[in-house]
Amino acid sequence: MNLGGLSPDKAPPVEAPLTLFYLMPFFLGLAGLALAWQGDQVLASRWAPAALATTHFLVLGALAPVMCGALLQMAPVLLGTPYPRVRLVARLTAAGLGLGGVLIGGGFLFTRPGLLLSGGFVAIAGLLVFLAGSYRALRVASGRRETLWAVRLAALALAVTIALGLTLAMVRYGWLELPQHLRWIDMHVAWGLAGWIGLLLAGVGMEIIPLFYITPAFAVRLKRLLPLALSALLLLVFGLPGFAASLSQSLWQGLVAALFVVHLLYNANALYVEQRRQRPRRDANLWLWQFSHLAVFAAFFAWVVDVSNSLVGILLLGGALSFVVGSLMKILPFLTWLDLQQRRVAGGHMQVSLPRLRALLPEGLANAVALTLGAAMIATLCGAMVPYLTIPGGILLMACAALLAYALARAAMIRRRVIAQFALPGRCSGGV
Amino acid sequence: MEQSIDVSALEPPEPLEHILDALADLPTGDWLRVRHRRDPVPLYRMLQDMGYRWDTTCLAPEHFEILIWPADMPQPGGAGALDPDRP
Repeated sequence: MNLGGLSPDKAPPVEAPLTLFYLMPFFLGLAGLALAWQGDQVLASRWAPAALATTHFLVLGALAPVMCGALLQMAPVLLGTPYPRVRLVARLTAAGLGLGGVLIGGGFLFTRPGLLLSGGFVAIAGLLVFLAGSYRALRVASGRRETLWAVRLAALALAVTIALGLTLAMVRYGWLELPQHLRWIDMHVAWGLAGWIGLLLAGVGMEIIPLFYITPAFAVRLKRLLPLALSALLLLVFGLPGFAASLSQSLWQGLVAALFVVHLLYNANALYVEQRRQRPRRDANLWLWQFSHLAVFAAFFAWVVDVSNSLVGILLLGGALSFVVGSLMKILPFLTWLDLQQRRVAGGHMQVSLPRLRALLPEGLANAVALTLGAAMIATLCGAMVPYLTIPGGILLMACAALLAYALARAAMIRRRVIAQFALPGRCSGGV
Repeated sequence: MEQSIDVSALEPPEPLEHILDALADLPTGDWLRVRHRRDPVPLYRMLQDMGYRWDTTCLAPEHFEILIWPADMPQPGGAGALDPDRP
């Protein structure tokens, strides 16, 4: 069945994305712990072990699983192509990212090269499974061309980020030598942040923002330009180590400025269409999404005035986190409800009434997640001026992780309870 | 008799909730006309499983009309033959 460019019957079982979503609170908690424990080091330098550990907890453990899970769910529906063996892909990716994220974070935090390298291989193995599935799915996809290219190029950026990360790990422990080592780190960061994270969030954002907030559609020109412009700029980044150090630095600044401009264009458009939404009411998700758009502007400003690289990093990572947590809180009740509704109809259990959407993720709980995440980010940013504020920043991030874990567990329990009701003949009560 | 609802200003999955609620309350012999801003794709499999037929018309960008009727009755209004690909 392929209707209106969408293929709902190709959507994977809901357990596949949920397996990956469950990793996020655990790694948010670990990042909060690292921040509360060694927060002053996190902000002192982006090369500090605690900073590298926190970054990888967030990027590999919190962001990547949700982004991969969302792709497993959305690419088949939006682009009309299912992932092969989707449950297996989800489990192996989750296992690789979960174990690899812990080992890499631990390796950085306790300066254990063995942990770092073994974690790197485990995480890469998990991500390669995901990339292999993505390749098979996206190669034959034909729906929504602009989104398809954004997703394809984001997956390619992930592969490049992984390759660069592995290379850097080998350089760090003397197994490989590279000229202009720092430039290679910049390349890893650029491909990861602007390519994998930025391009995927923008590509998916241009679909889900109009969908969930009844906004005007994003301009087709922007949808086409964004993946092309980002890819071209990221390819140019590869040429940097070939130039002399001083010239390479100037070119790097120019490319970073251009990457920022492309992302600012998307974020400005996102703010514009969100202000023109048909549903005027604001909810926690919209606050988080708008917080993420503004964080990119703030990061650009911080980069222009050359405050500190750590501050720019916190703003960009915090912005990405904000968008992904906001998206998760939209997708979680939606997927849970849709799964229950489809089971109810397919099984002929129309006598069982389903919980309303708001019962699956109460507004108060969503607000609490958004508030703690926003407060954690603000406290951490203030830590750049008053270092001890990173401690409450870390504690707030742990609180956010606990609330998110509760939200996920609560939705899972309600779902299980309703499914159990389907098995009981003649039951008419609601799910909660 | 025709019943109609407008779900075009609702966020997903509220349109689905409203359409399924409206179908549950649909008197025998009646049919439902839905105004929606998107093609409500996830609905169709459910309609098929619930024993309904449907006909979707895109009247303008972000303006879809979906006519839903029980599978055991002819298409309301006699507006053309049913799409053979439809259940």
